[in-house]
Amino acid sequence: MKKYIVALFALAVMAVSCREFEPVFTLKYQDTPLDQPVTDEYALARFGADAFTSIADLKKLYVKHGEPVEIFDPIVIRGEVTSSDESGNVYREMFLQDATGAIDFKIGRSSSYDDYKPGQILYVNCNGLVLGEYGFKDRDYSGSGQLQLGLKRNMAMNLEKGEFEAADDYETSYIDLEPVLRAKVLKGAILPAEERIKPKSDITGAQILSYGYDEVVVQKKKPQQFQLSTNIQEPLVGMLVELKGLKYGNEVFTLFYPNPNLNHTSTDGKNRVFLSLPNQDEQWESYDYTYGVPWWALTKLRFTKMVEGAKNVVAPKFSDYADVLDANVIKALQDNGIEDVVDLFATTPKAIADKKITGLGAKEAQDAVTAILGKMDPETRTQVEWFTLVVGSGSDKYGSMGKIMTDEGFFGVEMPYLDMILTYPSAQSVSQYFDYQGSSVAIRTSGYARFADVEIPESVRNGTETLDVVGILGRYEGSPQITLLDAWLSSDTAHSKSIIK
Amino acid sequence: MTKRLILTFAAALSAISLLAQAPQFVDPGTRDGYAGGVKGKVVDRNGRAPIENAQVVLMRGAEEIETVQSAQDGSFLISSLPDGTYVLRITAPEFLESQVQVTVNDGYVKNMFNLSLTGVQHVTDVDDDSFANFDMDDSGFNDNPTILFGSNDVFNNIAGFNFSAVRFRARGYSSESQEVYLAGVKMNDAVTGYGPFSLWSGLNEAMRSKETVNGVEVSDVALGSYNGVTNIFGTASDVRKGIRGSVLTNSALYRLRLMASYATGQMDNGWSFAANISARLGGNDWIQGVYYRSFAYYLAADKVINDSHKLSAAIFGTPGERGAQMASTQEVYDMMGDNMYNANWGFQNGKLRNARVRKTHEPIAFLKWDFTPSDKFESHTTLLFRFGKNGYTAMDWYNAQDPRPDYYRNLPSYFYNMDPDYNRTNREKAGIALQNWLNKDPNFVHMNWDRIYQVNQMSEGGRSKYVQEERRVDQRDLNLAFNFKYRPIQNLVITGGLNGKVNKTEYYKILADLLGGQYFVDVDNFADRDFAAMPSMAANDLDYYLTHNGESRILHVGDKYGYDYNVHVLNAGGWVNGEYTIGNLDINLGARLGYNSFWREGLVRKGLFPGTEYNDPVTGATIYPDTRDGLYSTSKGNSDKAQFLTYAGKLGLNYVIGGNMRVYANVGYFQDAPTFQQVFVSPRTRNDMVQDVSPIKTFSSDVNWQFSGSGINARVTAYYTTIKGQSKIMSAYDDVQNAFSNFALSGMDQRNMGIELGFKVPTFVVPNLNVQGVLALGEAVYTSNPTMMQTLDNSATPVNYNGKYVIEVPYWKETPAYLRDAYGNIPAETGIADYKKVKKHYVPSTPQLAASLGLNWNYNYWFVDVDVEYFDNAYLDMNPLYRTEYAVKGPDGIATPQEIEYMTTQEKFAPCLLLNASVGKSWYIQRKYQLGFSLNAKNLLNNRGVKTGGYEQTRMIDNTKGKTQYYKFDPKYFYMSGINYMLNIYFRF
Repeated sequence: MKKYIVALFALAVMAVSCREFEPVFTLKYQDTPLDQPVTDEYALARFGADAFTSIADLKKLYVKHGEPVEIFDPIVIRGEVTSSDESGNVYREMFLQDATGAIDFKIGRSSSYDDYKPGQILYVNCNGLVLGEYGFKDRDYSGSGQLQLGLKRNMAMNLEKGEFEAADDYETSYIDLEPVLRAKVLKGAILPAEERIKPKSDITGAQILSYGYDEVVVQKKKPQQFQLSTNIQEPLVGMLVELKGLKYGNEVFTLFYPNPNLNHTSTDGKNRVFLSLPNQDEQWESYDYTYGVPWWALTKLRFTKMVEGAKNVVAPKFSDYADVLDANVIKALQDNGIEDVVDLFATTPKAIADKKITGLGAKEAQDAVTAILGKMDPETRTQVEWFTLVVGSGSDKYGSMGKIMTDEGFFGVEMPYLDMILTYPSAQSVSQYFDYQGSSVAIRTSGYARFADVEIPESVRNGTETLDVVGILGRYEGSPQITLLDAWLSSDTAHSKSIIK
Repeated sequence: MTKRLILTFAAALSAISLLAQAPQFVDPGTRDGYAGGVKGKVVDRNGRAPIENAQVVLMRGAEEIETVQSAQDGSFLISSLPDGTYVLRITAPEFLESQVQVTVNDGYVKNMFNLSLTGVQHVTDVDDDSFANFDMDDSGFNDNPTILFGSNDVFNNIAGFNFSAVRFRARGYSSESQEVYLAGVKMNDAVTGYGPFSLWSGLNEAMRSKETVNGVEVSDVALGSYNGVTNIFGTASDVRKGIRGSVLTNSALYRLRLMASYATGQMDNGWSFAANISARLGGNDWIQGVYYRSFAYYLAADKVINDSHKLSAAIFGTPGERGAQMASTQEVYDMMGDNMYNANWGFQNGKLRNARVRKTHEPIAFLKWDFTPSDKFESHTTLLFRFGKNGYTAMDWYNAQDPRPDYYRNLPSYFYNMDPDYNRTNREKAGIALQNWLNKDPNFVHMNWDRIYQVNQMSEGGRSKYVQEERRVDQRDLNLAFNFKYRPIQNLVITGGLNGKVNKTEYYKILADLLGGQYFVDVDNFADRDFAAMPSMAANDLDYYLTHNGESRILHVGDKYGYDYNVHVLNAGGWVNGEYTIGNLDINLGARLGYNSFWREGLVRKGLFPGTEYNDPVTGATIYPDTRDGLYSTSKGNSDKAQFLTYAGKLGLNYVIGGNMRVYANVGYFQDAPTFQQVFVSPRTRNDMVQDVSPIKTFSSDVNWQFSGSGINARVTAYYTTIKGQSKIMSAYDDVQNAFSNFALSGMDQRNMGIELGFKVPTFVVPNLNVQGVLALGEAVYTSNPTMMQTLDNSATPVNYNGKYVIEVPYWKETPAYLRDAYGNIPAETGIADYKKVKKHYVPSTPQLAASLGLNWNYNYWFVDVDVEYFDNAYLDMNPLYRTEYAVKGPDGIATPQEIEYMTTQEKFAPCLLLNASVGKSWYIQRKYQLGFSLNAKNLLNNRGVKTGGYEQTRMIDNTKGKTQYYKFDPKYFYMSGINYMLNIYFRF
């Protein structure tokens, strides 16, 4: 009988795995040693010298707008990481630059600066990756965007045609998957600061103008025609640059969607509100087209406060400003459907001129606006401007944000439009415009950036001083766009202190 | 209405009793002079081994005349009895109760010879270690298995062991309702109310001796609630005499268990000593990453001072470590080809490491004084102190990617879904993800510790991006309990007691491992992201921030950080119960009154909830924090005190029929206080409580029939309980709000009703062969729709749903059933609700139909047991968010019947059939030593598709193409192990 017991016990013990006892006996786990960086020699040996391609030559593979290129050849690029997503302004992307140019690498992972450091050399095996363009708009003048390296684009099944077609407008998709990154991207050494690529600081305003289409410049000066094909390959796009002497442009651009759950394509304007500078003949002088936004972007808190400000303001009436306005003008305005100050702000000099009202031309309207604005204090003016913002654009306009109700059929509920925004407040990206040697450059910042709430220095905003910035020079729909990596890379460190600790 | 029913019932029974033959009045005080008596020998039916310390109770009708313990050879003697008919009720641990009628004639001592008890052999007891540790902490849900005690009761015995693998909860009741006492002190957790089984897991021998009552019955130590009372005696003299040891190996929990115990029993000099130690080590065949490194110790001593006084003292603890198991979605399990995949572990330098490990050591010490001045009065007073630490490690990270391998963005389903409305349209990436899962690339499918170490070592300045934290819950729990039993006159027994508890529990977390970095910083990761412009809001310790010029504390291993608060609990109460016997009828009436209070004491001022406006010296701004109803929420200092008066009343009737049967019924009404964690909205961040907290009102009743004797044991019970006014707070990450969120539900009602049947009966055809079985068939459903208020951890104002803070959860208790067309579809948009039917929602995570049928053969110290089990009607735990109008309507604000059915239907688990078998043999050597083994194999059919629990995720997919509806995230499941065995070799000297 003892035999049975021993036999059973022995059988049981044999079924033990050593692995499961590891944590029982491990008292302290040993640190994993740091990986050795890949050297140029190793990479050359591994891929062969023929495979190495310059970034500029890689970009040349993309030849036609709208046709992303899947790379089948063994092509390897060697680039230095020039961007970092630590501040949150660059999101899911990483810029790689070599002597010939730069490419936007759609890495897809957030906090990628944990794994890929600025100044680090990366060897990217592009075989299997896709080269595509982002931000192209087909217009009479150059509307090129910027080239990106990622994976194949999203495709959805079209049930009627029975075939897969592009699911969205993005020509490539984010890489996202860590195993792909591990296989395709070899990590080299992190260069010491003095060996890293220096921001290109010898760019002229004319160069910026020549590679992009500058709508503001065109409107203010004269239209210029550019060739499409050469512009795609513009080497400046994606590079780390330094622009000195930027003059504040007194202009912002933001587009927000009150209900982010709903459609926010241009097919339905009800869910879109623009903050922008209108065309020349639709602008009011002395109107603040920065809409009281001196910060690089709008954080959720800041955005909520702006909307709440609009909600709490009492819509000013002409009677409040009777002392500075011409009574006849007031009457003419009210007779023609412009009931109060908000309606006046919401319309344009061109629209007034088109109405051909006696005694009320563009000039009279402009004078009224100037007078009213002169009497308003800045805080009220910002609140009124936000209240006045028009929902929709183009032919799809629905009226001033502060006045309209949301549409039950579209939003599912009927409530004041501003309340809808306050139900889903979120951070907003903002483009702040600057004049660089006669060309207009937008610095676009995400509302999620850690320095979003930092103000553009007062001295820059009132024109006393200029600003120097370092950032990635991108291009969107033909227009140049700077992406700051961190607020204090604008060299005015005294005023714009980084809050990243 | 119920009062009338009870009175009628009572009247009927009293009438019956009057009709019965009036028994002879036997006054124990006047037994002198009578020559009659009863004697016998208590033995094990299997092999006739004597049973020592069996409890033999002599009864007359429903009245207990005398109780004796059997000696070492099993013999007992009760003398000085007048002639008459009596019943002997014999119980012993590990045996089913037996009753036998005995008639004393002509003043002789009646010799009953061998009285056999049917053993219930289990390989080992079910204790806390029998349940895999489910990692539910960040899901918002809770997992609290219950243990069915009561070796004497045939239902509890079979169900308790056989059903533990599927985490069966008797009658569908929650863990909090089951009262567990140790030496007369209630041990349910003071803050959560959960069963305290982990405090003594591994001390099976020391805690073996216990007394259990079921349902609404009253115990000797407490009035109890509606889910039974178990009192573990725990003193040295209650531990079985002798030296015992066992070596156990099993393939489902821990590979090796070593246990040893030594007890002297009560010695002639009045002393008793007992000691019990054990170790549980290793992993198992099924779930990787789950391991045990646990130990247990127990030391106790008793001294009988004189006839009236006895003092006992004991100290014990179960220091140990256990790895936890995470639930994953079915997609992940299918890709891994393993329903027991555990996402918590990975390889570090080639060694297996689990991120979530429970590390606890919560010793308990108590002092007990028994005062028994006469036969008529006994009292027990216990002073008990529980202390120690309870930790649970977890990953924490700052501004970095989620390290979990089964994070939804690593799954193929995130990249591609055939339904274009999901807007997941990249088959290539889905294919790559799938390939990596199928290849089981360890860097991808398991926690990638190696990458974490790379990231931390490369981090600028040495600041760790990933760390391991340990969440601590350290209790200091002091209890004083007094209970007594008084028999003033023959037929009346009064029991009662007083108890008090003072508890201070500290909740905090410490930095457990820097994972290759040099330091960490005490900031709130989410606030840091959301309020980058106001760094003071991200400070976890604002006072430190303000006095250190905006710096937050630099953390090294062992430092406290994140949050730190005390929960104070003060409970006091008293109870009394009177039991009156008239012939064969027993009536008891009892009541309890109590005072419960608790409050939170914050020890650290959190930047988001400072309680006051302040000036930030760093930015120069004055910060005005968020308000709730115009008041600042505060994290530091004492909160308001939540105070409750609790009370309960019970009525029980017990009628003895013949020598072997009894019929009994109980009814009770309870008003209980909610627990701390049901009242405080977000205790990690602030002092806010749910407004209008209501007490929980329960009505419970059960009717029972029981038979024991001649080798037959059976019990049938029918029960009905309604519980009203429950509340629950679930905390989980909400993607829509991008913040950690707390859902406070209140006004949850449920109704539990059903039957329980248990039996163990000899076949009478084949000798030594018994048929045994249990059936638990119940229906525990929700009967109300609660209201919900959602708060975020980074904001004082609750979440606003179309202008309202408190919203109803209209689809909590049921989903409408719709009429369907010829194809089985709901007609689009015009779906008509079938008002005759609804799909009810059930209390989750326990099978509501559990049945077992088996054969048991005992002969010559062998036993063989084969059972077939069937489980059905188990449901998945529900997420309240999916059942709100907001979720059902979708982005377009329109709720279609399809959306309602899709979003709100509760998932039902598939039924399952399991087969278990056991075999064992013991040998008695030289009449003194015992050696034996038992081998148990569970799930012989290797059924690996049995879900034992799980939960719905609280996330929703909102970025759809059509913008008409939301989609749910896949639910997560826990599965039961496949075929597994347990081999126990034990010996006793």
